[in-house]
Amino acid sequence: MNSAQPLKTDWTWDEWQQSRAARRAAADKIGPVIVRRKESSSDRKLRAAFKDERGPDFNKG
Amino acid sequence: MDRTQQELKDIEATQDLLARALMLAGLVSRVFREAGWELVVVGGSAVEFYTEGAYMSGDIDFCRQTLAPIPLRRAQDLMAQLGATGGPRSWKVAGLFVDLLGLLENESVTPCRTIASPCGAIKVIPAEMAVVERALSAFYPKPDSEAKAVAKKMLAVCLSGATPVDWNEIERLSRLPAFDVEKELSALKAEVARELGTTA
Repeated sequence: MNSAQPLKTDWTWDEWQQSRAARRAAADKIGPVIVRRKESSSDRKLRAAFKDERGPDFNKG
Repeated sequence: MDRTQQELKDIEATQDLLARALMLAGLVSRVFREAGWELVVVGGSAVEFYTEGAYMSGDIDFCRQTLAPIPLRRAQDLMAQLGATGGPRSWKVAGLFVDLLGLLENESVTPCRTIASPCGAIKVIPAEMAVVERALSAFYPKPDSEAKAVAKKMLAVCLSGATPVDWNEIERLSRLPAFDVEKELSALKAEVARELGTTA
C-alpha cells in the first residue's frame, strides 16, 4: 500500500457500505469469523444488558 | 418529530449491528461536535469498524480530540438529547453503550479516518495506530491468543487493501518506545500474509 496513490482516509456512507464485503472477506480468511473478547473492564454492564453476552446478537446485513 | 429523534428511531430499527453502531457513533459525534468537542472512536470499537465487525461488542469507545475537557454536566445534557441513561462517562443509548474515555492519545502522523454516516461524520483513530495497538496487546503483558486473533484480522484487512494503511507509518510506530513491537509485528504480518497467500 506504499504506492504513489494517496492514502484514502475519508469515506462516504455509500463507499463504506460498498467496501464492507471486501473487509469481511479478508477478516474471515484469518481465524474464527467473530472474535469477541471474553472479558473486559466493561463486563458487568455489558453482560447485564445483553443476556450475559458482551454485546447484542450478531445479525449482519 | 425532530431530526435527532427520527435518527434515533432509525438507529434502533437497524438490525445490522455494525451499521447501528456506526450510525449511533455518527449521531453522538455530531451532537458533541455541534457543542464544540470533536470525538474519535478508539480501541476495540475502531477495530470493529476496520474489520467489519469481527470484534463487535455492545459498546462504542470515544476519546475527545479537543483539548478542552467536557464538563460532566454538559456531557449529561448532551446525551440527554439522545434519550441516554446512565453517565457521566458511560451511557446506554439506542440499545448500545457509549463510553467517553478522556483525551485522545495518538502518536500517528497519518490522519484519523472519517466515515460520513447518515447521522453525522465519525472520526476513527488511524488504522496504523489500531494495528500497532493490537500487536502490542497480542504480545504484552504476555502473549494472548485472543488478542493475537484480533491483531491478525486487523492485519488481514490491511494487507488485502480493504482497509488502506501506510505501512511505513506502521513500522515507524512499532519502533517507538511507546510500543516497541517491531519484531513481533513484522513476524505477525508475515504469518498473516502467508495465510492470505500474499506477500508481507
